[in-house]
Amino acid sequence: MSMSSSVRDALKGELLCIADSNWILGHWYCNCMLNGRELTDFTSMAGIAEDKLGHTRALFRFMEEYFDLPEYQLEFGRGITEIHSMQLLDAPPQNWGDFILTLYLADAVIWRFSNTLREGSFAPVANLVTKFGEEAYFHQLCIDGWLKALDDTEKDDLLNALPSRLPLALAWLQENPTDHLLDAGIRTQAIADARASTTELVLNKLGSIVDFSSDQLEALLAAGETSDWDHRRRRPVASAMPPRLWESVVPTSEAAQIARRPLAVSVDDNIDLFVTAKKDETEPTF
Amino acid sequence: MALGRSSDQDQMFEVFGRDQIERPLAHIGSIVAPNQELAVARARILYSERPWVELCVAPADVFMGCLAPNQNGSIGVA
Repeated sequence: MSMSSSVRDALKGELLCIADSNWILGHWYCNCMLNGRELTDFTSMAGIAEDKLGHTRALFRFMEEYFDLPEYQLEFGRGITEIHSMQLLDAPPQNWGDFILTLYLADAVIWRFSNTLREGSFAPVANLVTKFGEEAYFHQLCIDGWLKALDDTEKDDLLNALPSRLPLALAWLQENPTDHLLDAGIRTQAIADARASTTELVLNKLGSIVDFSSDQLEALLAAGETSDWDHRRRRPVASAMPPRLWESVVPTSEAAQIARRPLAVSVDDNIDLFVTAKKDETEPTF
Repeated sequence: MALGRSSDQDQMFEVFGRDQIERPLAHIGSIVAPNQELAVARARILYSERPWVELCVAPADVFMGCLAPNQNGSIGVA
């Protein structure tokens, strides 16, 4: 499929928004895993983190190939002002209620946003997004279960976190002045429509968990709008993700760099370590 | 935050799977969860060692005994 440079550029920006937000969300699961409530929560969070990081790397590899970018530089060659992750994930969770709320909102908006590309005319992206959606179904089911199992104190914590989290989640679905992907048929649903359906879905779900008034709701929905918005990165202009969070994603300490030396060496020396995977002879067969 | 918390909503679910379409469903394990959503999600995530063609869960308390171990098979006397 041939694309104009403006469409290619817009696609690259939107895919980075999905990849980077999944990337940070995956690290939220990694960082908070030991705060799980039951042993099976640990394994569930580990499984979801694996999927989220897998989605990120699948998009990185696709973009490297399609946009002819140098290998691994999307992952290791960018700084905190170049990351396209959503602002919702910048502040760490304050408690279990806040954590579950933020997971729910982040997963809901990332999926609704990705879903606008699922039936588009660009098959490679549509296929990737379809695969992501099949896995995200179970992530959302897990989060629904966690929401349902909240006790009264945790519900209060969730309600207290709502004013700071919900506006940031919906702000991520701000419509661009010109949507080149929609015009080109790569996106089949306008972002404004995705935002409206997400808002309805989220409010119905949260309304079944906690009580909030319509006045509170109006204030929350208006709070996230800002004119100082970088449409390409889907976050405020010139904003950077917190350095401490970034350090947990791509550690820059000497010890961390030594620990990932094989990959770092491969990037610097352009040695591809993944060409031949040796078969594990001890692997059991069924 | 409390670790390893169990709630009074927790219940046991049995997990069944088949790895080929021509094979029957087989019991592959159990899972504890406070609701059906978490039971399904946890089963899908935990029992991922094989590419199952079918995987399902059922609440353990819906199974009705016909024979029981350790009682010579008897589950009751008239």
